[in-house]
Amino acid sequence: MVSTVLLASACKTVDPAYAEPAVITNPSAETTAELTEVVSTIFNDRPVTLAQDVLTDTNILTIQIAEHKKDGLPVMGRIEEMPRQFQLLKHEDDCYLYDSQNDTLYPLQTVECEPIELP
Amino acid sequence: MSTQHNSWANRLKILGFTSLSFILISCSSDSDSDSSPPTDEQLSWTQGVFEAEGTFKNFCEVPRTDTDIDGDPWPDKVGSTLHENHWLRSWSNNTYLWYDEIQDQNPANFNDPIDYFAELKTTALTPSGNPKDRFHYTYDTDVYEQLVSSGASAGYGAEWVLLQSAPPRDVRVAFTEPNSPATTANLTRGVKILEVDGVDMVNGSDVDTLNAGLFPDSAGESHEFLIEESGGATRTVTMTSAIVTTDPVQNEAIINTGSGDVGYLTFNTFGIVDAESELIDAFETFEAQGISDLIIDLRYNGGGFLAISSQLAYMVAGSGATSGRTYSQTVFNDKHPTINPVTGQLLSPTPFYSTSLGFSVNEGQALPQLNLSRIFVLSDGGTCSASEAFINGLRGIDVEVILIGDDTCGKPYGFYATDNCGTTYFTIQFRGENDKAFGDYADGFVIGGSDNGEDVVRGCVVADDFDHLLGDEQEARLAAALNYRETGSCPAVVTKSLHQAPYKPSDVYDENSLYNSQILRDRMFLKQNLILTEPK
Repeated sequence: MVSTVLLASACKTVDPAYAEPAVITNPSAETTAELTEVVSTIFNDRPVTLAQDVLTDTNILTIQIAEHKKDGLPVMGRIEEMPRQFQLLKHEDDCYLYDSQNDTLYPLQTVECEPIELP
Repeated sequence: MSTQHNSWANRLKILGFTSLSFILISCSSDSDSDSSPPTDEQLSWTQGVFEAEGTFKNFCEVPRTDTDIDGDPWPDKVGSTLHENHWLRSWSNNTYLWYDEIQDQNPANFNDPIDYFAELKTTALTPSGNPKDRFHYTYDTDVYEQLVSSGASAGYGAEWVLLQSAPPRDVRVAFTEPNSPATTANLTRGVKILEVDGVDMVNGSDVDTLNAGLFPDSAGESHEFLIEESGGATRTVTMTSAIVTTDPVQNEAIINTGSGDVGYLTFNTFGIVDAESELIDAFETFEAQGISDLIIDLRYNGGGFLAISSQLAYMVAGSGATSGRTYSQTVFNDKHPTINPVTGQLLSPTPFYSTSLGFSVNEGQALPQLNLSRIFVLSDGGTCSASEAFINGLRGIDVEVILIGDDTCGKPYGFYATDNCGTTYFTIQFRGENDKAFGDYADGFVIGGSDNGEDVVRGCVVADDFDHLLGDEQEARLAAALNYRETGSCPAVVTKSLHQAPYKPSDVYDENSLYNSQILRDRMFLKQNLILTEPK
């Protein structure tokens, strides 16, 4: 990852290669709401439901299409594709949601985070 | 900045990450449809003559003017219902697994594409008399494309199971999720629901209230339940719905027996990324303990990620038995023997994956392996799709699978969710086959006294036991598996818990049958996945 990403809402540049994987340290309804808004924006304002504890144990946020059922069974019972994943990164004192597909960092205002060691 | 699309990805909506391009929704863009509208001649119907599906794609009665999930404008163009019907006809003829069993009907005779789509499938029956195609669906695309963090949904964290749909109805808790409103309210497996918000669940007729209480649309809804515990005591609980995250692997245990340690786990879904890490954790424990047998409880596992089911099979059988073997080969209709008609990619078998794939564990880490030559699977009609691929994949490499419970659902098939003009269509497009090129189990894996190497599997028919928790050694199916392991025999008295009757459409159910409610039929776990004749 070598590109430098210009943040949409801040007049500074951050290279994701120098940001660290991180987890949220202040999970709350407020942080979940902000993350939900960011993810919804990425998906062009599609409704998104996030668990309250996302990004607290892992720096990976996985987004899937919600499970739909017919006759009590999942419609898509044989999924042959990977879901889309995002990373929580920390650079200096700031936390970002990183979308590697679009190579874009989204700064998070309410989220506090701390770096984690990846196995 | 760059967006990673490969050549075929331009035809598909990408919902993938970084180095890998993965599809979730097949949604052809402008590139595979002609920009010029079909001619009158192309819109005429000649039986047995089919234009290319791209001729009609995205010509819509009501074109969408907003944008798709990637932020791109929908590729819709001004068309008509007839255009949409012609696309359905040509698309089905091209990609439906049994395209040559569709009765070709004039698209102009149908005023609603969904009605026409309902006709575009085989009417053949399986050897047992069930419809050969039980998996033919549509959704509004906006409804289908709702997004969640993996495993999250609004509810109480209780899986409801409908044991009897007509009065006197019997709705129970099948299992609960940890850290959920259901566990906070001390709901446990087997609890019977007597009332919802004052409406009689057993004999009442206000199905809308029952629906609203059982299946809240969002977090924060409070509903009151009168419940009956095992033993007959009743109490009232109020639960407030919340965003609950499903825990796919539960009740991991090692059962000590006189003939060696036996591993057990309840595995309720392949469709959540955490399943990868939780299975690896459990199998590392089993491997360290040196278990001699394994019992996997898939009775409520309706499938999910095929790759995780492949990983699970590898961890059971080990590298020696799986190296170079096929876990699942995708087979399309005979028009597409080598190329996936949806992705354009060369068809290649899914292997037994021996490493983590990045679902929830960093990619490339070696998986634990138990090197077992047999496995016990606790099964039911809810054991479906990727769960059945797991059974079939292991049988393809001569790992003995012993089924305890009831026959599986019978879905060796798959499809690509495909949008056209705002409706997402699901039509069976491929079948999965194992290393022995077997994938013909439309009636499920059937429990028998012997094994025919195909769809009849040795094991015991044992009724689901709602008087014991899953993972309890006294639970009837787990107890039967442990007994079978010791003695090779099934429990003395076993009968099928419910008669599996041929499918019948919902409009012929009794007036007070819960099956008359589409929401209940869709969302409640039915005892056996097939629609059953109402017990009287």
